[in-house]
Amino acid sequence: MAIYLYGLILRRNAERVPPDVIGLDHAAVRTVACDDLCALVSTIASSPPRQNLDALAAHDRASWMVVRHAVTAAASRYGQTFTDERALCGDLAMYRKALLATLERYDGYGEMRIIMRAVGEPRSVQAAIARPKDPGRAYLESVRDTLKPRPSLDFRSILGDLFLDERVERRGDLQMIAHLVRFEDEATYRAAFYSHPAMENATITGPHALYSFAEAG
Amino acid sequence: MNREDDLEVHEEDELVLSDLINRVLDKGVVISANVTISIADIDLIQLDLRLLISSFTSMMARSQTKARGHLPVRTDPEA
Repeated sequence: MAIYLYGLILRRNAERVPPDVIGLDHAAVRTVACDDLCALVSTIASSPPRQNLDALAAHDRASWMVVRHAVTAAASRYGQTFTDERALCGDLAMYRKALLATLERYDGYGEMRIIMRAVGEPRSVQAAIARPKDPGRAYLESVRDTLKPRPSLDFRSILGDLFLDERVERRGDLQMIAHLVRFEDEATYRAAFYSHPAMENATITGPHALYSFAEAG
Repeated sequence: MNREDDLEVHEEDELVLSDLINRVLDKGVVISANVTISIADIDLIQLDLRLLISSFTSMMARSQTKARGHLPVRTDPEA
């Protein structure tokens, strides 16, 4: 048995976490208080957890089920387990200050994600996953592509102050843009997004837990 | 739904799935020394393909569109 981590929230928001959140292996997700933070966890039968698409989707869905109740959560990267709750809080203590600062700064916000093709790039999902055969070169090119990428469009001119901050990632001919949006502004954000002709072939999802805006350990 | 709409929805499903894989494996908070996957050592694009291929059946079962009979990704003979 092990404790599996899905994400972190401010402890003062824990009472708003719904009781029916489900995680890996359909296990119930609960909160574990660690000082002024709360971890979203479930108990799994064995560690490490299974590595398949269903498990990845279950990991993401657990934090999504919390965020849809307007609770800001910092998502944890997939696959983190702990022997027990004490070990979890012990590891969390080392990052408490940074995590607390992030969650306080972004409390009330969710992460909206836009997936679109970079302007001028051909329509091809295959192009996004095509790569040279040399894995070393492929890795270096992927690092180069992610260094300070700029979005194809000026979203500030399209969406105004509907988002607080922006993160951009490029993979092949695709761009992933993450925006911090207040939960109460989601409908207005979506309406502004879809009203712009340049967004016709873009896909928008969210609000998610904080992934691009979460402070990494 | 005609074939063009069908393909558009399927492509959008692929994009959403690809983004899900990338963000849960590559982003988010790391506080444990027991993270299963070491991002620095794994080609995430290759991992995307393996996960997609191995979970194709469950993915199509969840899809809102009918199965098209093939997975539109490049197979890797070394996978």
